[in-house]
Amino acid sequence: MAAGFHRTVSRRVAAGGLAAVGLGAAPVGPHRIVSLNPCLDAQLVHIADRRQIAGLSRLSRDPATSTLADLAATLPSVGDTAEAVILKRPDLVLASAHTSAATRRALERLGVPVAVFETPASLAASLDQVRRIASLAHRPERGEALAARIRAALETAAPQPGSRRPEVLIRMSGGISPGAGTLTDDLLSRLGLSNAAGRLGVRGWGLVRLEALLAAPPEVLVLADDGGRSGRADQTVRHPALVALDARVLKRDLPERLLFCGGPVLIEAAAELARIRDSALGVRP
Amino acid sequence: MSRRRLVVLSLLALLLTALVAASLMTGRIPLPLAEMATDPSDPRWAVLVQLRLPRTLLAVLIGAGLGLSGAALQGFTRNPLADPGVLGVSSAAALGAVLTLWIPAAAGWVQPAAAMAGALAGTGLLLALAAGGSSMTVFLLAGVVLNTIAGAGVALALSLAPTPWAVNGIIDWLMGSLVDRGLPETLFAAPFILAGLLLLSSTGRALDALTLGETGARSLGVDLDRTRVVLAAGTALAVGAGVAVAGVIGFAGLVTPHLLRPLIGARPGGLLWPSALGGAVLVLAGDLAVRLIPSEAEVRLGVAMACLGGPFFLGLLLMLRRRLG
Amino acid sequence: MSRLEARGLTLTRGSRPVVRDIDVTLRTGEVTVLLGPNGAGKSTLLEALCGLLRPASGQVLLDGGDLAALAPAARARRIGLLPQTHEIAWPLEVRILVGLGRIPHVGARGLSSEDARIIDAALAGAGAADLAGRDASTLSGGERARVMIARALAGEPEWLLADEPLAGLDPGYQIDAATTLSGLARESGKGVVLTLHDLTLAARLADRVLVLGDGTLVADGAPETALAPDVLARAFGVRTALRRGPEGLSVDVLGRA
Repeated sequence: MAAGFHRTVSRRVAAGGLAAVGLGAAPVGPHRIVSLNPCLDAQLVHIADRRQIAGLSRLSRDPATSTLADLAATLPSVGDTAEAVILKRPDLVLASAHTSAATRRALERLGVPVAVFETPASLAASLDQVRRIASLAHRPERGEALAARIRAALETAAPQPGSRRPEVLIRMSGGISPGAGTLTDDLLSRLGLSNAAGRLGVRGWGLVRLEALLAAPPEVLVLADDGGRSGRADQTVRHPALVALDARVLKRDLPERLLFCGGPVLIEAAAELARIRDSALGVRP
Repeated sequence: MSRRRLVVLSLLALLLTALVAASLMTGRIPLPLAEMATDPSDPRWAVLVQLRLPRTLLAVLIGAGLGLSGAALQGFTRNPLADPGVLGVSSAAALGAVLTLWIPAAAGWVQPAAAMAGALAGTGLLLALAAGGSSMTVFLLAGVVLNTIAGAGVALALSLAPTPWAVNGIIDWLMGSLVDRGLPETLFAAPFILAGLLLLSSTGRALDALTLGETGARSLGVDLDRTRVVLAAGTALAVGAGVAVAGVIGFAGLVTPHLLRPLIGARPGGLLWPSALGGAVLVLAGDLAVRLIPSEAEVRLGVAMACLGGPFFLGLLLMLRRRLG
Repeated sequence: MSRLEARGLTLTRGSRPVVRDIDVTLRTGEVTVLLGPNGAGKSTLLEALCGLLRPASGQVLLDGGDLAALAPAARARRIGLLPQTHEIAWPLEVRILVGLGRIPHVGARGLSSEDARIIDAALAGAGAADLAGRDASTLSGGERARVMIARALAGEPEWLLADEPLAGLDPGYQIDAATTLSGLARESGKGVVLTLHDLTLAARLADRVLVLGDGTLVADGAPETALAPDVLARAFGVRTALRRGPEGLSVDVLGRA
């Protein structure tokens, strides 16, 4: 994450140097980008120049759910109403499909270009998103670089050819599991893991009931909760009944925030999931 | 018009004017009168005309719809605690809107249109259930049925929602909010609300006659069946349209006639337009308060109004206890 | 001169027949008293004559025309009903409450000064002028009864059908109300039909008495005829004596038949 800005700094120095020589051009592109979604924020900070960023969503500052809390604290934050956004005088707004439709419409009526992004359902979709953001920010090379880093991380985390595919169930707050057709599902299969949620019939993001889980347990149960911040959700993820599985099932923890988004967080998510896979296979770390 | 009535109405009108002015000036970007831009290229002009003005107008219209339908319903049911929600219109509108969760990438107008369709369909069902000639009790029971069914439908739809995050969006909407509602929303809702207001205001005489009970009213030549239809249709239009664009905003329909009754008299027909005015004042004041609360996330208007309900009813309870005790 | 007729009228409440095949012709300028034991169908008949109850069979005719064919507002201008239960849903000022009686006549323009004059006259006629400024929810039973009479009078109907209008009134006010109702018929030429429980009051007030028993008319005529002991014995199961004194007719109830 910090690497992006080191690159920015070195680029600027280079550009400045070149400009001083009269051979370089000032960087083009949107000068004031506002992002209204933490997943988009995380990609934006890797792609855009620091001074291109006029505002990130408030949620990015929350250390419990954000993967860039410290960094986001050093960047401007913006509320999620059209008036708050307008205050930043943006020339580009990145929004998710879940951002309030009224706010998106209001911004469009105010003449602000709004780019809307769906939640990526596969690795390919996530990388496309990275490239699209890079293209909108007029920094295509940064997008390619980030996409390359993500692919490289997946290569590193890939399983040994021919090794067994342990079955894994990821259980998130509220008992939700990522099932077939989600980005996490795609990630699991690339990392040599089989997704038990798919086997249990979950399409997209869905609830896996405790009984179904106990009746047909996976090999590995990954408990991805929020660290016990919301009492009830904690109960669902770490239910007392799950103690019955202690003998048969390998239990591992995973920070939930690694699973919310695509983009750069996939690097850390892939590493963690690979570690879990290796421990299931008994491979020395 | 009696002197007292004139005074109260004038005060309300004055209050509304002041609130409208304040509403145009309030927001993330303070716009005191002196700084209001008239140059269309100035971004502050856009904020004023595209955001603040429609939002203010919408608050006034929705408040008027809630207030007048609340007064009409209280008059019709002869129950000072009746509320536009009693007929199940808000719930039916909510159900219509929630069902659009399954329509992928729906265009902006789909959700309000579905909510409006829900309100009208619900009203049709209500009138069919309580078909001509049946008593007040049956009519209200039909409203309970509609409320229950629609509420269950909403809960079911939410639990079966495609993704957990799609649910957040709709729950947010259900809580009621005027944030970023602009000209399109206002233009959508305005004709329905105005039509509803006109329909409801035509029931004044029937409501007055109902003071004497159903038989008394009918002996005065009131057609109760027709009144019932007009009431249901008017409420569906006036309240349903508000729900369609802004979610469920409660409380104003219940409280406004209640507050005005001791001030301008309890004659139901005389409370109609004053309650429209009072409802507009209440909702606009609520929206203004919500914008003034210093918080990053804007408190949802429906939530803020509901929070007012608690102290209001507590005060009512204490006052009643003192009077009867 | 106006006629209100029931022809072959059969009325039911739910599935239960209350009144069977009644024929009666009423005229303006007369006070008609409807008597009968509780549950005999007096209130039901009154509601039907007012056009508020659809007959199971038969017709109600106003001046030869079917009452059911009249629009509710037109009907309300000609026939007024004073129901037995004095429901008042809101704490209105008495004057405003009485003013509700003008609804069949008043359009969107609201009450005129002429209406105000009629309301005042109605209050006076009902002996309720002193109550005009009071909050209706603070009235006693008798005061409420007087106010309701005023409300009915305010409609200036051609026909006034009143269900137990004198119940709950002090003797003095009973006399006043009886005088007003009688004056309505004899001096103003209106048709007055009322139900009573007091047999002597019926004897003194009525020009004509209808006795309802078992769903049919057991008597229809002048008080001397309709209140004869054998009629009352059959209708009420009591022994009575009919006397004519200096004040008028009296009916003494002597005991069980």
